[in-house]
Amino acid sequence: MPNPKQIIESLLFASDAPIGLATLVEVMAGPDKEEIRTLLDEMAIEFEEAQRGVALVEIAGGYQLLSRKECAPWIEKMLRTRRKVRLSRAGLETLAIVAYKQPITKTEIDGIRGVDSSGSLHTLLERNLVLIAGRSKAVGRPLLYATSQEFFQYMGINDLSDLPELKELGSVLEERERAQMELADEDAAPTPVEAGVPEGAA
Amino acid sequence: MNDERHDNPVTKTATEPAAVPTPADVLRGAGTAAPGNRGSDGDASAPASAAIRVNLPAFEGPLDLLLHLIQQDEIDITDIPISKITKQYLEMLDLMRELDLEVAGEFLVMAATLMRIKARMLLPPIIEEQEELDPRETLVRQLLEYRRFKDAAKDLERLEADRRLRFERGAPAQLEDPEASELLPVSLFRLLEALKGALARQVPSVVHTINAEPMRIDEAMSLLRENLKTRGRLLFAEMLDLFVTRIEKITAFLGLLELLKLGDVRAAQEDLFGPIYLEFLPATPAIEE
Repeated sequence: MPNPKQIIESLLFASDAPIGLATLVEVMAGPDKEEIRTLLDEMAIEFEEAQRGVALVEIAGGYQLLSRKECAPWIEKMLRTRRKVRLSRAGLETLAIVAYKQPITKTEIDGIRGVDSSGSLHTLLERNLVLIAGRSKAVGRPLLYATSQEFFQYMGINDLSDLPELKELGSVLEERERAQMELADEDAAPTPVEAGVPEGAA
Repeated sequence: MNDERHDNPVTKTATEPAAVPTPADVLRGAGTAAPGNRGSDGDASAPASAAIRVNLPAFEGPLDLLLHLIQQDEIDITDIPISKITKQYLEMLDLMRELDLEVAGEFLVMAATLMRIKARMLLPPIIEEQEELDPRETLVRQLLEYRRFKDAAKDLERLEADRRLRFERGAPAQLEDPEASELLPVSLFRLLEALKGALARQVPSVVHTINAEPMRIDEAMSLLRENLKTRGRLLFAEMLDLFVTRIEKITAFLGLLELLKLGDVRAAQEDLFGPIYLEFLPATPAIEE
């Protein structure tokens, strides 16, 4: 009978996507959520201490084995391939705005950037980093954009709380800003329609 | 636009004070070969040839450009010397036009906004307006807000770069064309280099018109017989070398079969899979000719 850590490791090995805690609980059919989480935490440390070529990473709301950063050159050499094209500056800016202000309309994004963001949004949608979370109550019921599950996977983070903190506006402006935000929140509480709210949006 | 509140006491059209870097300097900045002609308007001096290379810091939009100008002069963002910035901003737009870059509409809207703010600041404040807002207020807020997300974008870029170094299982192991999966910036010189290479490789294929002169079997037989007669013995491979093209070799082979049938030539082999020898049989009297 293999021990629980061996089972977990084999599951992580066999999966090419992050495994959620719920799935592990179900498959293991024994230890509860907290016990498994403890096991995973221990394993992550063990992997690290053993200086393995892979690490146990908490990512996109699950657990996954990922290669060490330092090994990237060799993997790239073997695969003779690189990953998808990096995002452009415009794309990153748009994505940052969506990530920190979601759900948000395109008009609001354009307002912050001072330029039209259709192209960037289109690319982000195409790459599944951003999704349509519903419609705003504002005039014309514009679409609301939010980040997708794929966004966490792409950025290598677990959830929105892993994002670096947004810098503060100016000291004086900050308060007025907050007052306005509260007003705006009351006005335009988003109504998730067809697409539904992204699971990760906290 | 004679008396201005901020820095520049008098706006001279001729030259800038050397200490303040002008937008033109920025554009030229690290550029390898900036256009040397910037003096007057971009009329005749505007270079039409493709020989310019400009290292433009790519601005994502008017806010980005404004931020750049502000940072460059280390200006307090909440107290922007509006006339100075407006001037620099307009100069930048001029330069962009001069370089034949497309100036998006948003840049022009911002230019108008800047000039409106400038005008408002020159006017005496209207007394009964609530709280008497600084005309720059909205713009400043916009700039600050934009800057937050510009910084956030840099954070995301860092995360992205880190993540790209970590591979999960199941990455496609097939060989992919690296050029196809990652677009690398290619300089004009590399392109020219590539064209040169391609043309060089093209050279040997100068077109020759060849009138096909197929060898007939009897001709092949004759050639074979002559060779065998003089040399006595030939390796099969040597025999084939006498004939150049594929079709000639096939013709020769058919000719050889014919000679074997006629008994002029004998094929022999020392051992299985060993080299095949062809021998002329002098005993047989020549039949034809």
